[in-house]
Amino acid sequence: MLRRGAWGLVLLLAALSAPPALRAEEPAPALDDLSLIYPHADLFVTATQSARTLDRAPAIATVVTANQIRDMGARNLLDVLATVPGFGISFAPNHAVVDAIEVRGLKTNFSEKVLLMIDGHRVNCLYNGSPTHYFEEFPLNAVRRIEIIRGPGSAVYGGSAFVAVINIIMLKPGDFEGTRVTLGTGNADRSHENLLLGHRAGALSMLAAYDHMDTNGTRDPITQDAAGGSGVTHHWRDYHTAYAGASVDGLDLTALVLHEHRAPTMGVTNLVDTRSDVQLEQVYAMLRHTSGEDTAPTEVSVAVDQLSSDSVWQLDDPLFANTSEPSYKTRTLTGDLRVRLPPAAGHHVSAGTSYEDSRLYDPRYILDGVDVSATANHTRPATRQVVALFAQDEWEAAPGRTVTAGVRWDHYSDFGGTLNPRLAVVWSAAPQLTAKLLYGRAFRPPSFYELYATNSPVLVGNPNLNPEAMNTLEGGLVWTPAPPYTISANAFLNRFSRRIVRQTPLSVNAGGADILGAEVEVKADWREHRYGYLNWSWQASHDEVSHLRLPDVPMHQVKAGVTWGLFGDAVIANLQARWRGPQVRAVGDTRRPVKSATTLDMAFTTRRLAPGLDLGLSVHNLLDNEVFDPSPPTVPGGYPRPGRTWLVEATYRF
Amino acid sequence: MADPVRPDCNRPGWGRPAILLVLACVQLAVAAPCRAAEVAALLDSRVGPYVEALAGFRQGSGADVRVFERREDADPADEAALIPAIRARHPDEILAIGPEALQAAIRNITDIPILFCMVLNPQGRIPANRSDVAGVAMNVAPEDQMAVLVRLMPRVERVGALFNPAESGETVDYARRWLQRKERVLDAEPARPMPALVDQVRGMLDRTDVYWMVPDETLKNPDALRLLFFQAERAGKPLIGVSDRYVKAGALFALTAEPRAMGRQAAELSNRALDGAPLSDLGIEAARAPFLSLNQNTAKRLEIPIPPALLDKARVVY
Repeated sequence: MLRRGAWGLVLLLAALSAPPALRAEEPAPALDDLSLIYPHADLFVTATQSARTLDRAPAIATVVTANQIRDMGARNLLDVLATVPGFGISFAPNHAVVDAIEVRGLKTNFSEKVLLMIDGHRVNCLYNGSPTHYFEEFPLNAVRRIEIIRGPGSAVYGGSAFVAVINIIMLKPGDFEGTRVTLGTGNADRSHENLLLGHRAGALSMLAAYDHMDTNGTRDPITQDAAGGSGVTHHWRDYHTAYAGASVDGLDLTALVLHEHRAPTMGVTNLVDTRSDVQLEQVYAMLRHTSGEDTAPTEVSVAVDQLSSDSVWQLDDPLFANTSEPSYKTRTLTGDLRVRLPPAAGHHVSAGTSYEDSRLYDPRYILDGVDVSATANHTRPATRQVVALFAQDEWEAAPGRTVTAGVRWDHYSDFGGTLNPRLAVVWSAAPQLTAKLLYGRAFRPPSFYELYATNSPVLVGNPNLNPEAMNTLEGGLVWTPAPPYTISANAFLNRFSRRIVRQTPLSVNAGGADILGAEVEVKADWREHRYGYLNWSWQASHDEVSHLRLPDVPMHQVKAGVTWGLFGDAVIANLQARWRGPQVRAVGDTRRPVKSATTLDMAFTTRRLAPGLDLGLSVHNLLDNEVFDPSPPTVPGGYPRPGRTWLVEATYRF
Repeated sequence: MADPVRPDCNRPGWGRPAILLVLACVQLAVAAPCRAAEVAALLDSRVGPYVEALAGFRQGSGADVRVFERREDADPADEAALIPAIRARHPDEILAIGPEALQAAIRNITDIPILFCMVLNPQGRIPANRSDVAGVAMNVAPEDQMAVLVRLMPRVERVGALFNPAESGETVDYARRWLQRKERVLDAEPARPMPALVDQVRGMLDRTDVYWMVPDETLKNPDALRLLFFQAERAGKPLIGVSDRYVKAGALFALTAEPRAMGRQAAELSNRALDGAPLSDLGIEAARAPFLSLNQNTAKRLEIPIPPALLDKARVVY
């Protein structure tokens, strides 16, 4: 730790002692004609899988670029998502095992209603549907941008694109050449090391990245757990992530290895946890071929995903066991074909098919050191095949008016077929004003966990579950009253049906909910390294069963952030504030609503200190506010959010 | 009061449509079978500015437009599959959007007229013997930029510039002559490579009143760009930016060519060519109707008053 700090100090001194004329920003690749004139085009591909400028995309969307990620001092994916209107990051409603992503008034234990992709490849956990179990600490050093759609995406992406789609666009081979090293240290014994390598040899381009993050976690107080005890959190984490890509003549190979070793903030049975030990590993490799030299660009991809989970859970449940050790593996083979037909009379038609073969295998269960896999396993082996067909037409109906219509049919071997359409009308009424009207239907397939979990103190699966469904109607405006200010406003109505509800003895499809909401955001882009945003989101829900609001999510959220270049942009300062309103409790919980909370984050990053060198300081929860997430009544004080954390990093490019 | 049952005298009856129908039939009967003109648009890649330019072209063109896209990272030399597909359409013209698309078209096609847009400094990219190529450059006319400069800084005497003669020689000569007519001097010299460029930039800024950023290879090196902004700030000299993004970064002003407008401008050329005008007569046009960006902070720092009329004219003011 001390050695790392000393190393950082030496680098800082070396940088400060460099002659001013030599101080320069990190070298960037040479500009081409287009980027010499225009800012790097703010392209957006997730909404239709064809590039559109963001304001004209047929979706309510946010794009966060690599520069913005760096400016805000984001440590991981969740730090970025926390800034997006309508999004919130908090612990899952019933346990503080992992962070959950709440979107537009919906929050669930595994965030399984949010689809996470890396370069268009789905990475949600096959077993429980979660995008955060494996990717909550996903490093961002090799990310080019993150595209976030609020709203349904099943007509394009199929299952789990229910309330949001997050697509992480990684640096491509050829985007970076050379070597870049990042070293960081922070409180809670946090350390961070990142290595990025890029090389080009003739037609072959390669990129490789490795990231390691390790922390003991902040020790946040738990005043009372489910057994009446008290203590502190032991949320230690150790993450290794390796990413590699190679590209030659239209053929792209990408691979990711992610190894996660951590403890939960609190135990799965809501006790102060000192013994749980979660080990997860996810590996994928994807081969994609794009042939764009003819009139019908075609993309073919095949991928294999392998996942393993090997955990020790502290239960301390006298009626069940003190310790459980469930483990399982999953494997998914995927094939995709997508063709964009030659444009005709303003119609841009794309169509495709995909096939997925998934299996859950090798489940094992050890209770208090006794292997009960043969008699009382926690789940059973299972398979699932998914066939999908989809088509989409982007029709330029008139200058400035685009109609996007799409439909996707998915057939699951375990519950049958589902058809999900979408329709979007985007009208650029004036150069400064774009209006959008969107409709979409989405589904979320039940996970293997929801279907087959047995002998668990937390959930019992039901093999007869049907997919959840959502119909969404949205209207939006993007208005630039006077550059550099842009105002975007949108309203949505989500009609959620066939909701999968945990209840004794089995989980069932029961009822649904209506959620009405709005998001307004003002953005200002004064100049390079000087920009800001202010957004407000509101949602009101009505649960069909309880006739009350959906619990554990705020009705209002306000977020603001500003980035300001100082000392001739040699130092970039970033300040972000987030306020979330009170959160109502679940039915039968008589506690007062969870109090509103404010958090403040701050970051400083340097430019031009010395050739190739950047320094960064980020502080999250700057004021060390005590913030508590909603918890079940057995944890009356709530789940504590991390206190103040800081991280100092030095990045050097050779 | 009008009789409610009386037919409207101005309402067209059946007579005129019937005559038009007969005339149309006669026309169809005597005219040789024909088809609408077709333009094959060859797109460099599907990035925002190119898509905008294509949309502008479609707005202005009277022809059917078929789009052929190059992959973003395609090898410029490997157009083996794309060119035959274009030829199979027998288009009347090819519209190349972007420099790689123009290069591909010039390399592979000699028997179909080629129009282009969204290409910077196209003169150097078109062989002298190709009179069948015309289009719209992504460059803004230097006289437009110098006219704004003279309004902003009426006392300006020497304008400095470093440039790549192979790419911008003609543009710089043109600007030099224009400034001479206005009794000003353009002190321009070929840019040297790094690290000699450091002293060259310093020297140029020392002996001139304002630096004109010429959009060519010289500025494509990010290190050179940073050097220029750093030294200009240190010397207290304003920069004439290449486009809005440089004004945002601290240049005094810039005129930015708009992709959609360039697409429409190319469509005008296309329509004229389809009407029979030879491409050699159409030539290469600078981008029309660029928008003005001003940086008030820079102007204030350098004590350059901005005329209110110019401020009103600016679309973007930082």
